[in-house]
Amino acid sequence: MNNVIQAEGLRKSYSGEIALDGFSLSVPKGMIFGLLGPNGAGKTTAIEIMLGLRVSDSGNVSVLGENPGKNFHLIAPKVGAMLQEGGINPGLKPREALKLYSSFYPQSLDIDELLVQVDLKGVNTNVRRLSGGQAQSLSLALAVIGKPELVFLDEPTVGMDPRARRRTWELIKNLREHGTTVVLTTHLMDEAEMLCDEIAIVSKGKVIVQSDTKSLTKAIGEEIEVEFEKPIDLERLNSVIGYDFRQTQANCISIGAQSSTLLLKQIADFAHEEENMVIRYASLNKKLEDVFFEMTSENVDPEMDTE
Amino acid sequence: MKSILALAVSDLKITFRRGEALILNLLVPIAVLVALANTSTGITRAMPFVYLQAVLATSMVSLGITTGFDRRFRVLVRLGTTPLGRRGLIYSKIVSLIVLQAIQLLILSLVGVFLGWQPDPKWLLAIPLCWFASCAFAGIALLIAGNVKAEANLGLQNLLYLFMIGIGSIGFADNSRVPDSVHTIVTIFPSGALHSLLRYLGGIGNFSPVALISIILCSLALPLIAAKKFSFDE
Repeated sequence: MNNVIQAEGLRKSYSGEIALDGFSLSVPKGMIFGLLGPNGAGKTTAIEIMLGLRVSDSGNVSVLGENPGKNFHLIAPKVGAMLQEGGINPGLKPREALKLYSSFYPQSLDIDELLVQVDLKGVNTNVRRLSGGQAQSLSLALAVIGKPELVFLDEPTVGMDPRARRRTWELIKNLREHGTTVVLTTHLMDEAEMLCDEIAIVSKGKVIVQSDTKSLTKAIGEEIEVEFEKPIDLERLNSVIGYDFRQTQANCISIGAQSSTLLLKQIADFAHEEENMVIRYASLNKKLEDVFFEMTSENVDPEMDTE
Repeated sequence: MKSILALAVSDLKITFRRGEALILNLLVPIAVLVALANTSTGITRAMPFVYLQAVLATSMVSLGITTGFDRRFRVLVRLGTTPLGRRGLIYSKIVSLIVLQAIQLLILSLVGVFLGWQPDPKWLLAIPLCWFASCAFAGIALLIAGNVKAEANLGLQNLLYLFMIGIGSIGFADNSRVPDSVHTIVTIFPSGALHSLLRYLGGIGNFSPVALISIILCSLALPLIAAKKFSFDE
Protein backbone atom coordinates (compact mmCIF):
# COMPACT_ATOMS: atom_id res chain seq x y z
CA MET A 1 0.00 0.00 0.00
CA ASN A 2 1.72 3.17 -1.22
CA ASN A 3 -0.99 5.66 -0.35
CA VAL A 4 -1.92 5.88 3.32
CA ILE A 5 -4.88 8.12 2.46
CA GLN A 6 -7.01 7.87 -0.65
CA ALA A 7 -10.05 10.12 -0.94
CA GLU A 8 -12.24 10.27 -4.04
CA GLY A 9 -15.06 12.68 -4.71
CA LEU A 10 -15.96 13.43 -1.10
CA ARG A 11 -19.02 15.60 -0.66
CA LYS A 12 -20.30 16.98 2.59
CA SER A 13 -22.75 19.74 3.41
CA TYR A 14 -24.13 21.15 6.64
CA SER A 15 -27.71 22.43 6.44
CA GLY A 16 -27.32 23.26 2.76
CA GLU A 17 -23.84 24.83 3.16
CA ILE A 18 -21.37 22.90 1.02
CA ALA A 19 -18.16 22.09 2.92
CA LEU A 20 -16.69 19.51 0.54
CA ASP A 21 -17.51 19.43 -3.14
CA GLY A 22 -15.74 16.52 -4.80
CA PHE A 23 -12.67 16.44 -2.57
CA SER A 24 -10.07 14.00 -3.92
CA LEU A 25 -6.64 13.39 -2.47
CA SER A 26 -3.94 10.78 -2.26
CA VAL A 27 -1.26 10.90 0.42
CA PRO A 28 1.81 8.72 -0.17
CA LYS A 29 3.39 6.86 2.71
CA GLY A 30 6.23 8.27 4.77
CA MET A 31 6.12 11.92 3.80
CA ILE A 32 5.12 15.24 5.27
CA PHE A 33 2.04 16.21 3.33
CA GLY A 34 0.77 19.78 3.49
CA LEU A 35 -2.91 20.58 3.24
CA LEU A 36 -3.25 24.29 2.51
CA GLY A 37 -6.23 26.46 1.85
CA PRO A 38 -8.05 29.56 3.02
CA ASN A 39 -10.33 29.48 6.06
CA GLY A 40 -13.55 27.66 5.25
CA ALA A 41 -11.99 25.80 2.29
CA GLY A 42 -12.96 22.43 3.77
CA LYS A 43 -9.65 21.22 5.24
CA THR A 44 -10.97 20.55 8.74
CA THR A 45 -14.08 18.78 7.46
CA ALA A 46 -11.87 16.57 5.28
CA ILE A 47 -9.61 15.72 8.22
CA GLU A 48 -12.60 15.01 10.47
CA ILE A 49 -13.93 12.58 7.85
CA MET A 50 -10.51 10.89 7.68
CA LEU A 51 -10.56 10.58 11.49
CA GLY A 52 -14.00 8.99 11.48
CA LEU A 53 -15.50 11.95 13.33
CA ARG A 54 -17.83 12.75 10.44
CA VAL A 55 -19.24 10.75 7.57
CA SER A 56 -19.26 12.16 4.04
CA ASP A 57 -22.56 12.49 2.17
CA SER A 58 -20.97 10.71 -0.81
CA GLY A 59 -17.58 9.66 -2.15
CA ASN A 60 -15.01 7.19 -0.87
CA VAL A 61 -12.21 7.51 1.60
CA SER A 62 -9.64 5.01 2.75
CA VAL A 63 -7.17 5.62 5.58
CA LEU A 64 -4.49 2.96 6.13
CA GLY A 65 -6.64 0.67 4.01
CA GLU A 66 -9.86 1.10 6.01
CA ASN A 67 -13.00 3.20 5.72
CA PRO A 68 -12.69 5.49 8.75
CA GLY A 69 -16.46 6.13 8.88
CA LYS A 70 -17.08 2.44 9.49
CA ASN A 71 -13.87 0.97 10.84
CA PHE A 72 -11.96 3.74 12.55
CA HIS A 73 -11.50 1.50 15.59
CA LEU A 74 -9.30 -0.78 13.45
CA ILE A 75 -6.89 2.00 12.51
CA ALA A 76 -7.13 4.16 15.66
CA PRO A 77 -4.08 2.50 17.30
CA LYS A 78 -1.99 3.58 14.30
CA VAL A 79 -3.31 7.12 13.98
CA GLY A 80 -2.53 10.26 15.98
CA ALA A 81 -4.37 13.56 15.78
CA MET A 82 -3.74 17.09 16.91
CA LEU A 83 -6.94 19.05 16.49
CA GLN A 84 -7.17 22.81 16.21
CA GLU A 85 -8.69 23.28 19.65
CA GLY A 86 -6.46 21.21 21.93
CA GLY A 87 -9.20 18.94 23.27
CA ILE A 88 -7.26 18.29 26.46
CA ASN A 89 -9.04 18.21 29.79
CA PRO A 90 -8.07 21.51 31.46
CA GLY A 91 -7.92 19.85 34.90
CA LEU A 92 -5.03 17.54 33.93
CA LYS A 93 -1.31 18.22 34.19
CA PRO A 94 0.92 17.59 31.13
CA ARG A 95 2.46 14.39 32.52
CA GLU A 96 -0.96 13.07 33.59
CA ALA A 97 -2.42 13.78 30.15
CA LEU A 98 0.47 11.96 28.45
CA LYS A 99 0.18 9.03 30.85
CA LEU A 100 -3.55 8.80 30.17
CA TYR A 101 -3.12 8.91 26.41
CA SER A 102 -0.24 6.41 26.49
CA SER A 103 -2.65 3.92 28.10
CA PHE A 104 -4.88 4.09 25.01
CA TYR A 105 -2.23 2.79 22.60
CA PRO A 106 -0.58 -0.63 22.29
CA GLN A 107 2.87 1.02 22.26
CA SER A 108 3.98 4.43 23.36
CA LEU A 109 6.93 6.79 23.42
CA ASP A 110 8.79 7.41 26.65
CA ILE A 111 6.87 10.14 28.49
CA ASP A 112 9.97 11.78 30.01
CA GLU A 113 11.77 11.93 26.67
CA LEU A 114 8.70 13.37 24.99
CA LEU A 115 8.30 16.00 27.73
CA VAL A 116 11.90 17.06 27.10
CA GLN A 117 11.34 17.17 23.33
CA VAL A 118 8.36 19.53 23.67
CA ASP A 119 10.00 21.53 26.47
CA LEU A 120 7.39 20.64 29.09
CA LYS A 121 9.70 18.76 31.44
CA GLY A 122 9.10 20.03 34.96
CA VAL A 123 5.90 21.89 34.01
CA ASN A 124 3.58 20.82 36.80
CA THR A 125 0.59 23.02 36.25
CA ASN A 126 -2.92 22.25 35.01
CA VAL A 127 -3.56 22.49 31.28
CA ARG A 128 -5.83 25.48 31.87
CA ARG A 129 -2.83 27.45 33.18
CA LEU A 130 -0.45 26.59 30.31
CA SER A 131 0.47 29.31 27.82
CA GLY A 132 -0.92 28.98 24.29
CA GLY A 133 2.40 27.68 23.00
CA GLN A 134 2.79 25.18 25.85
CA ALA A 135 -0.74 23.88 25.29
CA GLN A 136 0.06 23.44 21.58
CA SER A 137 3.26 21.56 22.48
CA LEU A 138 1.32 19.24 24.79
CA SER A 139 -1.33 18.71 22.14
CA LEU A 140 1.40 17.74 19.67
CA ALA A 141 2.96 15.37 22.20
CA LEU A 142 -0.43 13.68 22.74
CA ALA A 143 -0.79 13.21 18.98
CA VAL A 144 2.49 11.30 18.73
CA ILE A 145 2.62 9.48 22.10
CA GLY A 146 1.22 6.28 20.55
CA LYS A 147 3.97 5.99 17.89
CA PRO A 148 1.48 6.52 15.06
CA GLU A 149 1.99 5.42 11.46
CA LEU A 150 -0.08 8.40 10.38
CA VAL A 151 -0.51 11.66 12.25
CA PHE A 152 -2.76 14.63 11.48
CA LEU A 153 -1.42 17.95 12.71
CA ASP A 154 -3.87 20.81 12.38
CA GLU A 155 -1.94 24.09 12.64
CA PRO A 156 0.60 22.69 15.11
CA THR A 157 2.70 25.83 15.59
CA VAL A 158 -0.04 28.41 16.12
CA GLY A 159 0.73 30.46 19.23
CA MET A 160 4.30 29.19 19.54
CA ASP A 161 7.33 31.44 19.91
CA PRO A 162 10.07 31.07 17.23
CA ARG A 163 12.12 28.68 19.39
CA ALA A 164 9.18 26.40 20.09
CA ARG A 165 8.21 26.54 16.43
CA ARG A 166 11.71 25.45 15.38
CA ARG A 167 11.65 22.64 17.95
CA THR A 168 8.29 21.51 16.62
CA TRP A 169 9.61 21.50 13.05
CA GLU A 170 12.48 19.27 14.17
CA LEU A 171 10.03 16.93 15.87
CA ILE A 172 7.90 16.73 12.72
CA LYS A 173 10.97 16.02 10.55
CA ASN A 174 12.01 13.40 13.07
CA LEU A 175 8.62 11.70 12.70
CA ARG A 176 9.17 11.42 8.95
CA GLU A 177 12.63 9.95 9.51
CA HIS A 178 11.00 7.23 11.61
CA GLY A 179 8.55 6.41 8.82
CA THR A 180 5.50 8.26 10.10
CA THR A 181 3.32 9.96 7.50
CA VAL A 182 2.42 13.48 8.60
CA VAL A 183 -0.60 15.36 7.28
CA LEU A 184 0.07 18.96 8.15
CA THR A 185 -2.49 21.74 7.93
CA THR A 186 -0.98 25.18 8.21
CA HIS A 187 -1.50 28.78 7.26
CA LEU A 188 2.22 29.47 7.48
CA MET A 189 3.61 29.23 3.98
CA ASP A 190 7.25 29.25 5.08
CA GLU A 191 6.45 26.31 7.36
CA ALA A 192 4.77 24.38 4.55
CA GLU A 193 7.50 25.21 2.05
CA MET A 194 10.22 24.13 4.42
CA LEU A 195 8.62 20.98 5.85
CA CYS A 196 6.33 19.50 3.23
CA ASP A 197 7.42 17.02 0.60
CA GLU A 198 4.10 17.33 -1.16
CA ILE A 199 1.29 19.86 -0.98
CA ALA A 200 -2.39 19.96 -1.82
CA ILE A 201 -4.17 23.29 -2.08
CA VAL A 202 -7.83 23.18 -1.12
CA SER A 203 -10.33 25.76 -2.27
CA LYS A 204 -14.14 25.75 -2.13
CA GLY A 205 -14.31 22.19 -0.88
CA LYS A 206 -12.00 20.53 -3.39
CA VAL A 207 -8.31 19.98 -4.00
CA ILE A 208 -7.40 22.30 -6.84
CA VAL A 209 -3.78 21.24 -7.09
CA GLN A 210 -1.62 18.48 -5.62
CA SER A 211 2.07 18.36 -6.33
CA ASP A 212 5.47 18.03 -4.76
CA THR A 213 6.44 21.37 -3.24
CA LYS A 214 9.34 22.20 -5.58
CA SER A 215 7.44 21.42 -8.77
CA LEU A 216 4.49 23.45 -7.55
CA THR A 217 6.46 26.67 -7.19
CA LYS A 218 8.38 25.97 -10.40
CA ALA A 219 5.28 25.21 -12.49
CA ILE A 220 3.62 28.45 -11.60
CA GLY A 221 6.59 30.27 -13.05
CA GLU A 222 8.39 33.40 -12.17
CA GLU A 223 7.60 36.81 -10.85
CA ILE A 224 8.85 39.64 -13.03
CA GLU A 225 9.54 42.92 -11.32
CA VAL A 226 10.22 46.11 -13.27
CA GLU A 227 11.36 49.40 -11.83
CA PHE A 228 11.05 52.64 -13.82
CA GLU A 229 12.88 55.89 -13.38
CA LYS A 230 9.61 57.80 -12.89
CA PRO A 231 6.08 56.76 -11.87
CA ILE A 232 4.07 55.16 -14.68
CA ASP A 233 0.47 55.06 -15.83
CA LEU A 234 -0.43 51.42 -15.01
CA GLU A 235 -3.76 51.44 -16.81
CA ARG A 236 -2.14 52.63 -20.02
CA LEU A 237 0.70 50.12 -19.70
CA ASN A 238 -1.74 47.24 -19.28
CA SER A 239 -3.84 48.32 -22.25
CA VAL A 240 -0.82 48.84 -24.53
CA ILE A 241 1.02 45.60 -23.68
CA GLY A 242 -2.03 43.49 -22.91
CA TYR A 243 -0.76 42.13 -19.60
CA ASP A 244 -2.21 42.53 -16.14
CA PHE A 245 0.65 44.17 -14.26
CA ARG A 246 0.32 45.05 -10.56
CA GLN A 247 1.71 48.31 -9.24
CA THR A 248 3.87 47.55 -6.20
CA GLN A 249 5.19 51.11 -5.81
CA ALA A 250 4.61 54.33 -7.77
CA ASN A 251 7.45 53.48 -10.13
CA CYS A 252 7.45 49.70 -9.71
CA ILE A 253 5.30 47.01 -11.34
CA SER A 254 5.23 43.23 -11.16
CA ILE A 255 3.53 40.30 -12.83
CA GLY A 256 3.57 36.54 -12.53
CA ALA A 257 4.90 35.45 -15.92
CA GLN A 258 7.82 33.76 -17.61
CA SER A 259 10.62 36.20 -18.35
CA SER A 260 11.12 36.92 -22.06
CA THR A 261 13.14 39.34 -24.13
CA LEU A 262 10.00 40.20 -26.10
CA LEU A 263 8.21 41.29 -22.94
CA LEU A 264 11.24 43.30 -21.81
CA LYS A 265 11.39 45.02 -25.21
CA GLN A 266 7.66 45.86 -25.07
CA ILE A 267 8.05 47.39 -21.62
CA ALA A 268 11.17 49.31 -22.62
CA ASP A 269 9.39 50.67 -25.75
CA PHE A 270 6.43 51.75 -23.67
CA ALA A 271 8.73 53.52 -21.19
CA HIS A 272 10.53 55.26 -24.04
CA GLU A 273 7.23 56.55 -25.49
CA GLU A 274 6.28 57.85 -22.04
CA GLU A 275 9.66 59.60 -21.67
CA ASN A 276 10.50 57.19 -18.92
CA MET A 277 13.03 54.37 -18.69
CA VAL A 278 13.45 50.94 -17.11
CA ILE A 279 16.13 51.10 -14.44
CA ARG A 280 15.73 47.56 -13.07
CA TYR A 281 14.28 44.35 -14.49
CA ALA A 282 14.28 41.32 -12.18
CA SER A 283 13.01 37.82 -12.63
CA LEU A 284 12.30 36.13 -9.31
CA ASN A 285 11.29 32.59 -8.49
CA LYS A 286 7.87 32.49 -6.91
CA LYS A 287 7.38 31.46 -3.32
CA LEU A 288 4.73 29.04 -2.14
CA GLU A 289 2.83 31.97 -0.69
CA ASP A 290 2.52 33.53 -4.16
CA VAL A 291 1.35 30.22 -5.57
CA PHE A 292 -1.19 29.88 -2.76
CA PHE A 293 -2.62 33.34 -3.38
CA GLU A 294 -2.86 32.80 -7.11
CA MET A 295 -4.57 29.46 -6.75
CA THR A 296 -7.06 30.60 -4.12
CA SER A 297 -7.42 34.25 -5.10
CA GLU A 298 -11.20 34.06 -5.49
CA ASN A 299 -11.92 33.23 -1.90
CA VAL A 300 -9.01 34.21 0.27
CA ASP A 301 -9.99 35.38 3.72
CA PRO A 302 -8.42 38.83 4.10
CA GLU A 303 -7.77 38.18 7.79
CA MET A 304 -5.90 34.98 7.13
CA ASP A 305 -2.51 34.71 8.76
CA THR A 306 0.15 34.30 6.15
CA GLU A 307 3.14 35.59 8.10
CA MET B 1 -10.16 -2.32 29.50
CA LYS B 2 -6.87 -0.72 30.60
CA SER B 3 -7.73 2.50 28.78
CA ILE B 4 -11.30 2.57 30.16
CA LEU B 5 -9.99 2.26 33.71
CA ALA B 6 -7.26 4.84 33.05
CA LEU B 7 -9.78 7.42 31.91
CA ALA B 8 -12.12 6.59 34.82
CA VAL B 9 -9.26 7.08 37.30
CA SER B 10 -8.28 10.32 35.57
CA ASP B 11 -11.88 11.60 35.73
CA LEU B 12 -12.12 10.71 39.42
CA LYS B 13 -8.83 12.48 40.13
CA ILE B 14 -10.11 15.64 38.43
CA THR B 15 -13.42 15.42 40.34
CA PHE B 16 -11.64 15.17 43.71
CA ARG B 17 -9.47 18.17 42.75
CA ARG B 18 -12.49 20.35 41.99
CA GLY B 19 -13.63 22.02 45.18
CA GLU B 20 -17.16 22.70 43.94
CA ALA B 21 -17.61 19.04 43.00
CA LEU B 22 -16.63 17.94 46.51
CA ILE B 23 -19.02 20.46 48.05
CA LEU B 24 -21.91 19.39 45.82
CA ASN B 25 -21.29 15.64 45.97
CA LEU B 26 -20.24 15.20 49.56
CA LEU B 27 -20.33 18.21 51.85
CA VAL B 28 -23.89 19.34 51.00
CA PRO B 29 -25.43 15.86 51.49
CA ILE B 30 -23.54 15.43 54.80
CA ALA B 31 -24.66 18.89 55.97
CA VAL B 32 -28.28 18.11 55.02
CA LEU B 33 -28.05 14.74 56.80
CA VAL B 34 -26.68 16.27 59.99
CA ALA B 35 -29.29 19.05 59.89
CA LEU B 36 -32.28 16.74 59.24
CA ALA B 37 -31.10 14.16 61.77
CA ASN B 38 -31.36 16.78 64.48
CA THR B 39 -34.90 17.91 63.60
CA SER B 40 -38.26 16.21 63.94
CA THR B 41 -37.57 14.51 60.59
CA GLY B 42 -35.12 12.19 62.26
CA ILE B 43 -32.25 10.17 60.83
CA THR B 44 -34.43 7.31 59.52
CA ARG B 45 -36.50 9.63 57.34
CA ALA B 46 -33.46 11.75 56.43
CA MET B 47 -31.35 8.93 54.96
CA PRO B 48 -33.52 8.17 51.88
CA PHE B 49 -33.73 11.87 51.08
CA VAL B 50 -29.99 12.40 51.46
CA TYR B 51 -29.30 9.37 49.26
CA LEU B 52 -31.60 10.89 46.63
CA GLN B 53 -29.79 14.22 46.89
CA ALA B 54 -26.37 12.56 46.58
CA VAL B 55 -27.41 10.49 43.56
CA LEU B 56 -28.84 13.56 41.85
CA ALA B 57 -25.66 15.53 42.56
CA THR B 58 -23.28 12.94 41.06
CA SER B 59 -25.36 11.33 38.32
CA MET B 60 -27.06 14.42 37.03
CA VAL B 61 -25.50 17.75 37.99
CA SER B 62 -21.85 16.78 38.26
CA LEU B 63 -21.87 14.48 35.25
CA GLY B 64 -23.90 16.95 33.20
CA ILE B 65 -21.71 19.94 33.95
CA THR B 66 -18.37 18.17 33.41
CA THR B 67 -19.65 16.61 30.19
CA GLY B 68 -20.82 20.03 28.98
CA PHE B 69 -17.40 21.54 29.52
CA ASP B 70 -15.61 18.48 28.10
CA ARG B 71 -17.73 19.02 25.02
CA ARG B 72 -16.93 22.75 24.97
CA PHE B 73 -13.17 22.07 25.13
CA ARG B 74 -13.51 19.32 22.49
CA VAL B 75 -12.13 16.77 24.95
CA LEU B 76 -14.75 14.28 23.79
CA VAL B 77 -13.95 14.81 20.11
CA ARG B 78 -10.24 14.29 20.72
CA LEU B 79 -10.83 11.16 22.81
CA GLY B 80 -12.98 9.93 19.94
CA THR B 81 -9.88 9.91 17.71
CA THR B 82 -7.98 7.57 20.04
CA PRO B 83 -8.33 3.78 20.28
CA LEU B 84 -10.54 4.39 23.35
CA GLY B 85 -13.33 5.42 20.97
CA ARG B 86 -16.78 6.68 21.84
CA ARG B 87 -17.92 3.42 23.39
CA GLY B 88 -14.87 3.29 25.66
CA LEU B 89 -15.52 6.89 26.62
CA ILE B 90 -19.08 6.07 27.74
CA TYR B 91 -17.97 2.94 29.64
CA SER B 92 -15.29 4.86 31.49
CA LYS B 93 -17.83 7.56 32.47
CA ILE B 94 -20.08 4.82 33.86
CA VAL B 95 -17.18 3.26 35.82
CA SER B 96 -16.15 6.59 37.35
CA LEU B 97 -19.78 7.38 38.21
CA ILE B 98 -20.29 4.01 39.94
CA VAL B 99 -17.05 4.37 41.94
CA LEU B 100 -17.80 7.97 42.89
CA GLN B 101 -21.31 7.05 43.97
CA ALA B 102 -20.12 4.04 45.97
CA ILE B 103 -17.64 6.26 47.87
CA GLN B 104 -20.29 8.92 48.40
CA LEU B 105 -23.00 6.54 49.66
CA LEU B 106 -20.52 4.69 51.89
CA ILE B 107 -19.43 7.93 53.56
CA LEU B 108 -23.05 9.07 53.97
CA SER B 109 -23.97 5.69 55.49
CA LEU B 110 -21.06 5.88 57.94
CA VAL B 111 -22.08 9.40 58.96
CA GLY B 112 -25.67 8.14 59.33
CA VAL B 113 -24.61 5.25 61.56
CA PHE B 114 -22.51 7.69 63.60
CA LEU B 115 -25.66 9.79 64.04
CA GLY B 116 -27.61 6.78 65.31
CA TRP B 117 -29.12 5.38 62.12
CA GLN B 118 -30.08 1.69 62.28
CA PRO B 119 -30.76 0.57 58.71
CA ASP B 120 -33.41 -2.00 57.81
CA PRO B 121 -31.79 -5.12 56.19
CA LYS B 122 -33.72 -4.28 53.01
CA TRP B 123 -31.53 -1.17 52.79
CA LEU B 124 -28.75 -3.21 51.15
CA LEU B 125 -30.85 -3.02 47.98
CA ALA B 126 -30.57 0.77 48.08
CA ILE B 127 -27.12 0.78 46.44
CA PRO B 128 -28.11 -1.18 43.30
CA LEU B 129 -31.35 0.82 43.19
CA CYS B 130 -29.34 4.05 43.25
CA TRP B 131 -27.08 2.78 40.49
CA PHE B 132 -30.14 1.89 38.45
CA ALA B 133 -31.73 5.29 39.06
CA SER B 134 -28.40 6.87 38.14
CA CYS B 135 -28.95 5.66 34.58
CA ALA B 136 -32.13 7.74 34.41
CA PHE B 137 -30.51 10.86 35.88
CA ALA B 138 -27.39 10.42 33.73
CA GLY B 139 -29.69 10.12 30.72
CA ILE B 140 -31.29 13.48 31.56
CA ALA B 141 -27.87 15.06 32.23
CA LEU B 142 -26.37 13.85 28.95
CA LEU B 143 -29.46 14.74 26.95
CA ILE B 144 -29.02 18.36 28.06
CA ALA B 145 -25.20 18.44 28.07
CA GLY B 146 -25.03 16.93 24.60
CA ASN B 147 -27.34 19.44 23.00
CA VAL B 148 -26.87 22.91 24.51
CA LYS B 149 -23.93 25.24 25.07
CA ALA B 150 -21.83 24.73 28.20
CA GLU B 151 -23.08 27.85 30.01
CA ALA B 152 -26.76 27.11 29.33
CA ASN B 153 -26.11 23.52 30.37
CA LEU B 154 -24.64 24.72 33.68
CA GLY B 155 -27.77 26.74 34.46
CA LEU B 156 -30.20 24.06 33.29
CA GLN B 157 -28.53 21.28 35.28
CA ASN B 158 -28.73 23.34 38.47
CA LEU B 159 -32.35 24.34 37.84
CA LEU B 160 -33.29 20.75 37.14
CA TYR B 161 -31.52 19.66 40.32
CA LEU B 162 -33.68 22.03 42.35
CA PHE B 163 -36.81 20.86 40.52
CA MET B 164 -35.97 17.18 41.07
CA ILE B 165 -35.12 17.76 44.72
CA GLY B 166 -38.38 19.69 45.11
CA ILE B 167 -40.38 16.83 43.56
CA GLY B 168 -38.52 14.27 45.65
CA SER B 169 -39.06 16.16 48.88
CA ILE B 170 -42.86 15.95 48.51
CA GLY B 171 -42.34 12.38 49.68
CA PHE B 172 -41.66 13.79 53.15
CA ALA B 173 -45.23 15.02 53.48
CA ASP B 174 -47.72 12.83 55.34
CA ASN B 175 -50.53 11.19 53.39
CA SER B 176 -52.98 13.14 55.52
CA ARG B 177 -51.60 16.42 54.17
CA VAL B 178 -50.96 15.43 50.56
CA PRO B 179 -53.59 13.44 48.61
CA ASP B 180 -52.69 10.00 47.24
CA SER B 181 -53.13 11.29 43.71
CA VAL B 182 -50.32 13.83 44.25
CA HIS B 183 -48.04 11.12 45.67
CA THR B 184 -48.76 9.00 42.58
CA ILE B 185 -47.96 11.88 40.23
CA VAL B 186 -44.75 12.58 42.15
CA THR B 187 -43.60 8.97 41.76
CA ILE B 188 -43.87 9.26 37.99
CA PHE B 189 -40.82 11.56 38.11
CA PRO B 190 -37.54 9.65 38.58
CA SER B 191 -36.59 11.64 41.70
CA GLY B 192 -40.00 11.10 43.29
CA ALA B 193 -39.84 7.41 42.33
CA LEU B 194 -36.35 6.94 43.79
CA HIS B 195 -37.29 8.67 47.04
CA SER B 196 -40.44 6.56 47.34
CA LEU B 197 -38.53 3.29 46.81
CA LEU B 198 -35.71 4.34 49.17
CA ARG B 199 -38.29 5.17 51.85
CA TYR B 200 -39.77 1.70 51.38
CA LEU B 201 -36.32 0.09 51.69
CA GLY B 202 -35.73 2.22 54.79
CA GLY B 203 -38.89 0.74 56.36
CA ILE B 204 -40.84 4.02 56.42
CA GLY B 205 -43.16 3.80 53.45
CA ASN B 206 -45.26 1.50 51.33
CA PHE B 207 -44.01 -0.17 48.19
CA SER B 208 -45.12 1.79 45.13
CA PRO B 209 -45.38 -0.26 41.91
CA VAL B 210 -45.77 3.03 39.98
CA ALA B 211 -42.39 4.19 41.34
CA LEU B 212 -40.70 0.93 40.33
CA ILE B 213 -42.18 1.03 36.82
CA SER B 214 -41.20 4.70 36.49
CA ILE B 215 -37.59 4.02 37.54
CA ILE B 216 -37.30 1.04 35.19
CA LEU B 217 -38.77 2.92 32.22
CA CYS B 218 -36.74 6.09 32.84
CA SER B 219 -33.52 4.12 33.37
CA LEU B 220 -33.95 2.35 30.06
CA ALA B 221 -35.47 5.09 27.92
CA LEU B 222 -33.61 8.23 28.97
CA PRO B 223 -30.05 6.93 28.32
CA LEU B 224 -31.18 5.61 24.94
CA ILE B 225 -32.70 8.97 23.99
CA ALA B 226 -29.56 10.74 25.24
CA ALA B 227 -27.30 8.42 23.22
CA LYS B 228 -29.37 9.05 20.10
CA LYS B 229 -29.48 12.82 20.50
CA PHE B 230 -26.00 13.40 21.99
CA SER B 231 -23.64 15.49 19.91
CA PHE B 232 -19.94 15.18 20.81
CA ASP B 233 -19.14 18.56 19.33
CA GLU B 234 -20.60 21.86 20.54
